[in-house]
Amino acid sequence: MIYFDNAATTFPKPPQVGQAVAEAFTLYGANPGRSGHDLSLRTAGQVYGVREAAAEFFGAAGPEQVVFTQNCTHALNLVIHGLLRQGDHVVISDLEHNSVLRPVHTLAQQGVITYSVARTSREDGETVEAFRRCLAPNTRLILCTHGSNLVGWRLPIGALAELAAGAGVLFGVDAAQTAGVEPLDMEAMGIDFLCTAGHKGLYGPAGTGLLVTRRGGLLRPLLQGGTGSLSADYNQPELLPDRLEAGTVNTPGILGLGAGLRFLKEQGMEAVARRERAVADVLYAGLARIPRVRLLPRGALPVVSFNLEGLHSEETARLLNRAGFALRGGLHCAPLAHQKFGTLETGAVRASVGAFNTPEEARLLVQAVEKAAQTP
Amino acid sequence: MPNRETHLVVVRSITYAMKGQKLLERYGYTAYIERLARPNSRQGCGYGVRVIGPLEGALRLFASAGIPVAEVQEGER
Repeated sequence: MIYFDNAATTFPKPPQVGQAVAEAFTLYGANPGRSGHDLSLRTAGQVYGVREAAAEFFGAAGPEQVVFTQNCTHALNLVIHGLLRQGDHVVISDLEHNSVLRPVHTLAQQGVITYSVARTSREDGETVEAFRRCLAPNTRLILCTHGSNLVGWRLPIGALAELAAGAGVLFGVDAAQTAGVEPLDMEAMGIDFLCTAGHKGLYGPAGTGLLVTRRGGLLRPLLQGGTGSLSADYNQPELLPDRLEAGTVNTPGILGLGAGLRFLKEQGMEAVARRERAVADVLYAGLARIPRVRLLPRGALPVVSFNLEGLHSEETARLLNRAGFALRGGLHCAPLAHQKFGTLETGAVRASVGAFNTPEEARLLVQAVEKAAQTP
Repeated sequence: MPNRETHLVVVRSITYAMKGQKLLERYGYTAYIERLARPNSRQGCGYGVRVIGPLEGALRLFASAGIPVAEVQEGER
């Protein structure tokens, strides 16, 4: 099986990720931050090391600004449900994943907030202008994807952060598709809330995610419970990360995520991203030569989405699966984006490239699509 | 004779304890993390950083790094 579903989760993981997860069971098996014995403190030291690494990776002011979550959706829900209050207004983009759209829409359905959807463009200036037009006096948050999981369009988050700051609005980013692929510096870019998965471009295990924030004090926790600190107080602690990390953390996942971050540092994130784009280039150029292929407009990220004329995307994905290729059909949990590109009925087949894909694999996939295109 | 003054600087979370310990070590202190042996009933259990060396300098470093200190306990390890 040749795997081209890295936007869903990267596979394979670097070998050191599996090794770090195994070490969590063999060397660091105690509960970090709960006890005083040596094994607990050693485990806490390992978890803290990943917190530090993540803070450095994303340009956060300190490791206490890093909150470990289950996934990006969890991080986004912490922001959306933790921040927004009755009467607030939110601006999102028309490329959002359901991890943004659904919690925002849920609050709107409950009559708590209102929201607007900014129409994105390949022209950054037009995108920023569209967000500006959506701002209202009660806008509290601009929350948008950094990169579309369907077409790989990248939004100008630096300019959007400036827009938000100028309007006195908080700014959050869904970096599920860009963390580990695009440079992200929270302080320099002016990002208040950065949400991401640990298991995609950061090469950590499934069940890991991050909320990195300089505004964590504004968030009401979704969960209350044990933190190993200030235990006599009936209230959830105010300080981060404890405030948003009730309950035992996922030590194996976090240590695996740390190994993923080290992998990117050793390889060079930009070098990995360059290789991925080169593979995506081969794929795009090859698919563009097949008459029956309808390509969706491509962005900067290593994602290529397409359809075979006359076939539903799920049918095409199934044909490719039989030929030994793992791609995702359907709507990719991004109905707004499919609506935008006119593929709500058929969905699209998405090939998403990871660090271990090669140009040769892309050529083989093009051949397989060519063969599938001969299906009546 | 080296200063062997020792204090337990109580902080509000394991993360701040780790941050404080690493910071002090960078500045040449010997510092360990300890679980509070005699937590007060108001605060409950938690962690502190055992500082071996001048307390004032350590507290200044904590303040400069934004590490909130809950209390300082004197005494031997």
